[in-house]
Parts: sequence; C-alpha cells; structure tokens
Amino acid sequence: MTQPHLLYVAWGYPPCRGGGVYRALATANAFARSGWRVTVLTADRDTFDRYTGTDPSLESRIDPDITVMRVPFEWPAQDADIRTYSWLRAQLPQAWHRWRGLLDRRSFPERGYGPWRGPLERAARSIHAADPVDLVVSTANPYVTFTAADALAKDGVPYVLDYRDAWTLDVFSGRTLTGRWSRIGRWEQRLLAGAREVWFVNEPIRDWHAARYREVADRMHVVANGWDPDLLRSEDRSPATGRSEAAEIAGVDEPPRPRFGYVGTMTRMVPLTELIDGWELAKRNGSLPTGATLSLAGYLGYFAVPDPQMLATIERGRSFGVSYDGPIAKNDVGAYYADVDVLVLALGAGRYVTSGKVFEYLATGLPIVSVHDPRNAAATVLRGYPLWVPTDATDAAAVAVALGRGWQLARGADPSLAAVALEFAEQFRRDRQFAPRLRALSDISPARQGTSG
Amino acid sequence: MRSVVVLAGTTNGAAAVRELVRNVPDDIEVTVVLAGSGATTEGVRRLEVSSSPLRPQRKVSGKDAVGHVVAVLLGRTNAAGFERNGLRSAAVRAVLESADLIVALDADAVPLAWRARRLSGSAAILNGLQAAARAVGQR
Repeated sequence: MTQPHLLYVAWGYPPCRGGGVYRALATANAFARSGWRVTVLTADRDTFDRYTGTDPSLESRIDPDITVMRVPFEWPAQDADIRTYSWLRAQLPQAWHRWRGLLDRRSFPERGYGPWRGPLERAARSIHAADPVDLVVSTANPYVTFTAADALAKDGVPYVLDYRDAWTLDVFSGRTLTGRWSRIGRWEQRLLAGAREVWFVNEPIRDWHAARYREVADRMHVVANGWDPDLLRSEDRSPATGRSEAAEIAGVDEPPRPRFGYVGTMTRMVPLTELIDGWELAKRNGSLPTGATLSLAGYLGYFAVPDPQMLATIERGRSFGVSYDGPIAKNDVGAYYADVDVLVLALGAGRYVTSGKVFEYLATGLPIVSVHDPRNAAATVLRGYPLWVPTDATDAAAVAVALGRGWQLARGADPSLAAVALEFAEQFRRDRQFAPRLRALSDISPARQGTSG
Repeated sequence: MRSVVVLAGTTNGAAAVRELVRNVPDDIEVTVVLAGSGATTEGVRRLEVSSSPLRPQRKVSGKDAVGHVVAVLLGRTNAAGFERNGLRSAAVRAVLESADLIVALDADAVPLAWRARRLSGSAAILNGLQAAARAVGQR
C-alpha cells in the first residue's frame, strides 16, 4: 500500500454533537482527502445517545474512505439507573462521587474518562497489528485519548497531540491547574516530549504552553478551528434589512422586525443573563425597534436535555421577543444564518477563550455583536472584520449599546461592506488551517514505518 | 408506558418538572411528588409530602462532611424526611406501586426513588431529567 496510515483518536466524533466534534470530523476528513488512509478510533454510538445528544446529520459528512472503529465507553458516574445504586450512592452521593473519582483516576489521571485507557490502548494496538499505523493524531479533550498515541509510540509510531484547549490551564480564569510534577504534569511532560507536533486552537494557549515547556516550543503550532465551506454557501445570503419577505416584494414600508440570532452550545460560562438583560434594556430605551427578536439556538448545557436554570433565564426575556429555538442540525445551520439579520457572539470570559462559532459567524458576512470579555481570544479573530461590534464590558448597558449598533449596521446593509466582510472571512476557512500541518507531515510515508506491534 | 411519577426533593428538582412534563406525551399520566409546597406544576397531579416550603439543594462542604454523615445515619436530612414522609403517605405509595417510570429530579429525591425499588418490581427508576426525557422519548 502506498498511502500512509493515520490513526485518528477522538472521544467525540459523529454522531456526537458538540463544539469539538466539528474539528474532529474536519481533521480526519482533511487527512483522508490529502491521500492518507484514515482509521478513526472513537467512543461507541450509545455513549452519545445516552450522554451528549447526537446530530445524525454529521455522520453523512464523514469521508467515505475513513474507517471508524468504536470502542465501548463506560461512565458509571453518569449512570441513571437507580436500581443499580448502592446505599452509599443513594444516601451519600457526594461521598460516592468522591470515591468514584478516585477509582476513575487509577489508570489515568482524568475523572470520568480514566478507565477508558485500557480499552483504547488495546484497540490501538490491535489496529496497528492488523494494519501498521504511520502516524497517530490524538485529540483532546478528554486527554485519555493521548494514551493511544503513547501506546503506539513504544513501537516507534510518531504522534501529534491536538490539545485544542489546555489540560493544565483553566482557559476561563487563566489559572494553572496542576504543577509540572503532579501526576498530570508528569504525564503531560512525557507526552509532549515525545510528540512530533502539538496543536492548539489559538495563539494565547500555544504561547502559554510554549513558555511552560520551552523544550517543545518549536513543535507547538496553532491550528485554528475555521469554518466549513460546504456548510455555508454565500449565495444563500443577502444583505439584511429587517423587513419581511412580503414587504420586500411589495416594496411596502412596514415597521422593521430585525432578527438577531445566536447559535451554538450555551454553557453556564456564557453571559446569558447579561445578554437577556441587555436585550431588554435595548428594547426599552429604543436602541432596537419594537419588532426586533432574538433567537437563541443550540444546546443549553453540555448534555442532551436543556439546563433548566438557563431555560428560566431565557423565559424571562420572552415578553421582549427572546425565543429558544432548540438545537440546529449542522446541515441546517446555513439556513438558520440565512434567516438572521445580526449575529450575537456570546462567549465565556478569558483571554484564552476562542470558539468554533466565531469562524462560522465570520463566514456569513453578517454584522456580529460581541457579548464577551474584550480580552477574549475571539476578539483577535474578529479584529479587522468590517461588520464587527465589540463591547468594552459585558454588563446590560454595554450590551444594549452594542445590540443597537448591530442593528444600525444591519439597517445600513451596504453590499460592498458585506463583500469585504466575506473576503475577510476567507482566511479562516477550515481547510486553510490544516494545510500547513498536512504539508509538514507529508514526509511520513508507509516505507518509513517497519514494525507492526 | 402509561404513568410517570416525578420526585422533587428540593427547589432544584421542582424547577426541572416543567421541562420534563414538556417532553412527556399527552397520553401519559404524570404525578409530581414534592418534598414541600410552593412550586408551580401546572397540568399535572401533585402530591406534597410536607406543608413547609421546598428547600433549595444544599451542597455539603468538607467542613460539614462528618456532621452530614451523622445526619444521614440519624435520618435528619431533607432527603431522609422526604423519603420517610413519602413512604408514610398512602397516596404516594400507591402511585409508586403503579408507576411505569419513577424519576428522581434531584439528589434529595434519590433515597425515596431508591426505596421505591421494593414497591415496584417493574418500573424503571431513573436519576435526572436527561435520563427521564430519554426514557419517555423512547417509550
């Protein structure tokens, strides 16, 4: 066989839904389209049905030449069948969870995921024995996926660690989570030392790691998330006016009804309360027309069922035109954007925080209102985008002003500005983020690899 | 599946009732058993096991751990009170015995749900909104 064989390891892979999945999907596809034979090692389908929720539309986007191998994943702490509970778990759940956490971390220091190390390593070895692997790319999080790379490294197989974010840095607070000589720290040092390359989603996270592990700094690279051209077709979009289609056709003047939209997973780190408060204020003080609506789409929380506390927050804004429209399948996201006049980018605070959705937002050519810490790494991506409305704070007053400015930009609907915006977004296409790394790894060939476990 | 019993031991669980009810098809009867009064649960049958207001969930700090263990062993926690009062109530026992699905919506409701194993040999007994929504969606 003349094609090199890539083993790509990711816990979350289609049909799993969630932010990191799009990167995993795109990474494996990018290698497959660049001439690699790709085997993906991931969790079984039932894991995603039970815990994260699924987006079946994503499975059709897996390159047909990719082989997907699914490894069963047990998550006792998330087991919901009370009939199986012990007295301790029923009566003293915190004590039980503490004990379970210790058990989880026995073979690998990661709560919840540690026990997956054994099945993952066995699966990686069996794949390598049947069809020698030339490169492993392991994607976090969870970080237990790195153990598959470590297992094959003993046979001389080079590996890439796609950290995405960080293991020992809290990207929201900027706090270092563990010392270099802690158990996690020792794992991290050893894994980084042996890595052919280490990837991060943005420059601030890469810089933090480069400063901490200077000896590996030259192998650390930024592979930003980017946007997927096949999901967003620019011909679907037209400059926004906030007028209904019927009014457009009839040329009738009617009160504007601009539609603001947010799409993405909303965790408790997202300043949802501030957004709803700012929206209400903007409606009250006339910064937004009475007919303006705010659609929030995506999962509320990390799990399949909406977080009730977040639902209650959204409910509070209902009388001011706020609605929760639920998750949107990735295949339908283009249609959602086509129906929106202004996008709202609400993100958790922290200079290390980017997101996948910032790139997708850019690709729409629509005005983008930021509702996040101005030092957030997403701001560096947006700087230079002509239809960007930054905020200098995330309190209700600042958010209201920004929303008003977003509406003004949409009302202006300058086609030349929209064209410049789309042109700006081209640099952030997903394939362009992978291209330099694929070139750098092109020296790996099947001939270089001799052992087979 | 014909009947679902939802147990809410604190205000946290009570807040999730509406979301669960939204996921339940119209032909399934829902009974909500609450540890106290005060929560709004429209359109469902409700059984309150105490006249005092529902309490918020309490997280036990390391400092309070020993006292909490003692309180659990002596049956003096909110969860123990909910479990005791629920099992004493003939109405609650009856709905638990005939339920197809019993759901504990918060940690304080789990001990009562756990005891319900003996009242109902066939009902699915689940912890949390997510598992419950999945179960009613797959019936």
